[in-house]
Amino acid sequence: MKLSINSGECCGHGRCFTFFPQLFEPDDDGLGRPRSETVPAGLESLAQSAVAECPERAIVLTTPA
Amino acid sequence: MTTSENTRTCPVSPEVAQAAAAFHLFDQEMNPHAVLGAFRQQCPVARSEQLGGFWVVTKHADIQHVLKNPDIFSSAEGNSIPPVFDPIGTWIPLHFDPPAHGKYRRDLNANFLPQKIASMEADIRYQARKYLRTIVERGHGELVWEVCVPYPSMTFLVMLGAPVEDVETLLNWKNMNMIGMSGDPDAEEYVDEYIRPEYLAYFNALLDERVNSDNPPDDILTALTRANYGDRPFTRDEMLRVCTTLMIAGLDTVTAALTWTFYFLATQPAHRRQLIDDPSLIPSAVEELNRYFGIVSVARRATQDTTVGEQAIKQGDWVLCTLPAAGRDETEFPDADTVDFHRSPNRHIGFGTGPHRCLGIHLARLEMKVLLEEMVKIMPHFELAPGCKPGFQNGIVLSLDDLEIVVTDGT
Repeated sequence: MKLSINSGECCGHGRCFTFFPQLFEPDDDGLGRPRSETVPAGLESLAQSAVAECPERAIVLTTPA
Repeated sequence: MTTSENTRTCPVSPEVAQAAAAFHLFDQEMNPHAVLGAFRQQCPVARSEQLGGFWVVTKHADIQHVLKNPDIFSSAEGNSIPPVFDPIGTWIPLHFDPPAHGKYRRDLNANFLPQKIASMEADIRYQARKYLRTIVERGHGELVWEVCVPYPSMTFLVMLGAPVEDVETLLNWKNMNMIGMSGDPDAEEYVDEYIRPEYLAYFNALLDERVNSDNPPDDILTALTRANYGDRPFTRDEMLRVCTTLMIAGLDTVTAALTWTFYFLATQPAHRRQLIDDPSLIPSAVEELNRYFGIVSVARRATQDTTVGEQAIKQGDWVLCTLPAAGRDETEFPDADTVDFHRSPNRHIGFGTGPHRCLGIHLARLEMKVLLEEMVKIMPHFELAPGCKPGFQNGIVLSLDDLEIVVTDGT
């Protein structure tokens, strides 16, 4: 699974790095940034929860074809 | 008198239409959640005829739309109703739209980054313990003035770089500004003439100290003297207009949120028990309390004909986004009237959204988290004192005015 944040939508609420620090960290501007482009094994369900928790729906999770 | 020839689209009962027409934030008799809740359910974009006339937006999705579209809904003519401006100009960055907004905000953000805020935790915890222990040792206290006001204010002053002994002066200036924004032209004039020059001179002196020092302290005021707007330095005038914003936004908001938090916890022992039994729930509880008790309402002015929800909005119309109402929108939050510390997902916008999303969000979260962590250890059980009846303090920021409590043993 690939993890990214749509920077055009991210408003820096920080729910991702506050509640899912295994997957996200704040960048130098305080916006969310995935720690890795690829979701580590075993954290797929956590990634899906993170997607649901973003008020701006800015987190994008994709499964490469 | 209304500047809009637009009429309300929604069919609504005469009672709600009348309540909407008379609505304004500074009505101290109103129960804000009840009144705004009725609008949200029956007329999601309601029309007030007060203060020149404005639309009252209460649904989460509609408020998100307004705040995320600054080109349509501008802050440049004010972010409160009626709009008020400091005599030397507009407040920074409140009264700016992108792209200028981002250029002012970029160097300010650096002082409020989560990484930076996290380094303040030990000092904040020390303060939390101090204020709570005083109450516990006495066995009773009044939480608004003994905890909710001083706890975040002292932290903020230290961060800003203002001497802590000046806290009452700064709070007074902040309070006077809020009164000056409440729609009374005499109050606004008084603040313009007597209060604003005082605090501008105060901040000017503190900024001078830092510019003239070889080794200025590591605080926001020093950071302001070095801040850049794009690729040129802030002017002194701009620094002062930032100081005004910080004073107003920093000394009121966490205080207000804590008054609702303590009222809730004093009256809901089962919720308190959840936090005592599992303090790891506290960060989620802080989010849920910011959802349920959103405190701020912000205004925007339409730059073109547009719509909000199903309501046509004319260019020039004022629109008030009531975050306290957004948090209880059943469309976004199932069982919105239930406070559930386990609520997930919780996509609340209690800290706003769009470019003006609260600058202090991480500081506010940390202060609330730490206070609750210390509360469950030091003051886990308390209730409202007999006869204590908290009253609504309504306005741009909503709070409660009186929280006399007695410490109990929880039995």
